Amino acid sequence: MKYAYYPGCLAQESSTELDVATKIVAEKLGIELVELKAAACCGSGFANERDPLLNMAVNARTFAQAEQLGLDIVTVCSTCHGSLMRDLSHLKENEKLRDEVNGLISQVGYSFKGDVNIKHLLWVLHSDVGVEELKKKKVNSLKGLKVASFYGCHILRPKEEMNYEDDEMPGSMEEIVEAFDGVAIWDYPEKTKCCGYHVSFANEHAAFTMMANALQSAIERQADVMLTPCPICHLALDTDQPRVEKYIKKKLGIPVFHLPQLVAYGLGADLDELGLKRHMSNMKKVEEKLKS
Amino acid sequence: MADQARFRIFRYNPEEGGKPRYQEYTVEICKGATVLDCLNEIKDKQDGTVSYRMSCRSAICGSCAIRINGHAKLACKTQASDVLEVYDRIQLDPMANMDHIKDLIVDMEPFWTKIEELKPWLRPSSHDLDGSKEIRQFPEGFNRIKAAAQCIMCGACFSECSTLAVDKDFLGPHALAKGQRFVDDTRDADTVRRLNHLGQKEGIWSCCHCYECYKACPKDTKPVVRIGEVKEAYFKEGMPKSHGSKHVDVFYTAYKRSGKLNETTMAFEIMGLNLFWWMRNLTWGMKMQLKGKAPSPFQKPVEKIDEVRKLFDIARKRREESHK
Repeated sequence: MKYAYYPGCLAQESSTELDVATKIVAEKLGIELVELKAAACCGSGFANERDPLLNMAVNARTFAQAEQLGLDIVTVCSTCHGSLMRDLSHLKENEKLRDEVNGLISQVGYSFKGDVNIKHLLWVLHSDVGVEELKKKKVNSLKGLKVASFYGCHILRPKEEMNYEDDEMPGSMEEIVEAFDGVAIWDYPEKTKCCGYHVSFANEHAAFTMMANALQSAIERQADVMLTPCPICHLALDTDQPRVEKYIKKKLGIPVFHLPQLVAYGLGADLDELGLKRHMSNMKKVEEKLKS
Repeated sequence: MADQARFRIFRYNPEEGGKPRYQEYTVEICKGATVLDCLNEIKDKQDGTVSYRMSCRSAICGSCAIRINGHAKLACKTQASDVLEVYDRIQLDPMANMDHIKDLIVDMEPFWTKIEELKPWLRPSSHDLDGSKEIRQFPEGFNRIKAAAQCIMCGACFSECSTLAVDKDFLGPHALAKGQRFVDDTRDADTVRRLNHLGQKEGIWSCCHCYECYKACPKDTKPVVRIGEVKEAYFKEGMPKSHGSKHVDVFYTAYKRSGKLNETTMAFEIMGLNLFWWMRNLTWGMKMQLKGKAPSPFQKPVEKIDEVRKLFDIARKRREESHK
């Protein structure tokens, strides 16, 4: 298995632990990742609100780079995934738009043909590798670890563009947790809700309340940890957790893992390799639980 | 051949003073039966007291929006068999983000108030209104507002909106999408006033991009996309900057800088000299520094950054020319 790897901005900046864990997972599963080092920001659903054609041209340049490699793109961020999928589907469906965008990117030496697909790492692990294969490669068990999987928005909606699993009752992360003997909390209604991060500057009250709802609901379901496929959700649930605690005047203290961190551990990686010390939420208790 | 479907319906009657409860029913369903067909079957043959709104049965009037297994949909556009492919029973609740009146009927007053605040009618210039000529609209102009004009005011997006669920003052996806219908209408001349209203803190900038409204909308209005178009118009008109507009700008200007989001300078660019904000977040920021969560503001650009910068310049020139 070989993919063009689009890490996105956060995995290269504030959330490098996600990049590290992704590369460990890839190595353990024999997945070759060719990093798209010249790819620029996906726009995060914001740049298109200023200049949609520019955002689309930048993303078409990324697609063209993957086409030159003859590889499909794998992302580790749901928002990157959503933004890229939006532009890719528009470009594939609309010939006139494709010509217009090709007219722009041809001025910097690229041409987009429409031969590329995008997958999130979650889908690669769940389908291309497969749950049965993960079970076979299990080294460390997550036995007794109760995991609340938080999907967030941009890996599920819009369903027509994602077209992977049911957007109301997704289960790919739960199945991966169970592949490593973890206890998946299936009944966690907030798992398809918004983490709130995108309004954390414009409307702090709304953002912190959404974050608090997701965290508290996981705690009410006795989760030991939360798991997310998106570094933006991770920023909301982990990095912003101290701010949320202050806002709601209540200690939460629930650890939040990036998806590939927990998978890397299950595949035999040492916890110390996974950058858990960079997390803002309290990881000590869960580290002790896993080590015991 | 008919199959059996189990229904769990939210019941509430304030006149009886009772608490909300769920009541179960079983219905024989045929292929193609909608949830509304099943509700009518229950009301006609099993329990005439079950209350809900309905009219056209053709996904045109927007009356029958209810929550089906936790997600707002038109009951007349949702086939029972499709629901049962995912769930083992069909649970019906009134729409969210609105008060309950009886059973599946909600009070849509807040929904309509936010629409009324928009002044949802065309406000052409006095010059256009002098009666000397017809105010015409061409297909390309109509295509720009077609999606929002298709809205049937069912309330499904209002019910599912993540921001409204936590902030009742948010204008809501329905009103913001309707706003786009007027802001981008070539015949309307009230753009600046409209953008001032839509661009308030509780307007376009408080949309969290969750795409719940996109999912809920039965008519392809896709409110979240329309909200993006209002923001585009907001920038085109050179409206005042806000935290929300600066957040958008950070991503746009990244293309002429490193090609990547600069998370460390982002907070400075958006919050500026808001000392209250900085004081409030001081200890949190220090913890981020200690944890290595605050990357260097001096970023290494993506490879071949000149290409991205050139695209930025080309796009800017195109936009400037189109504004002339």
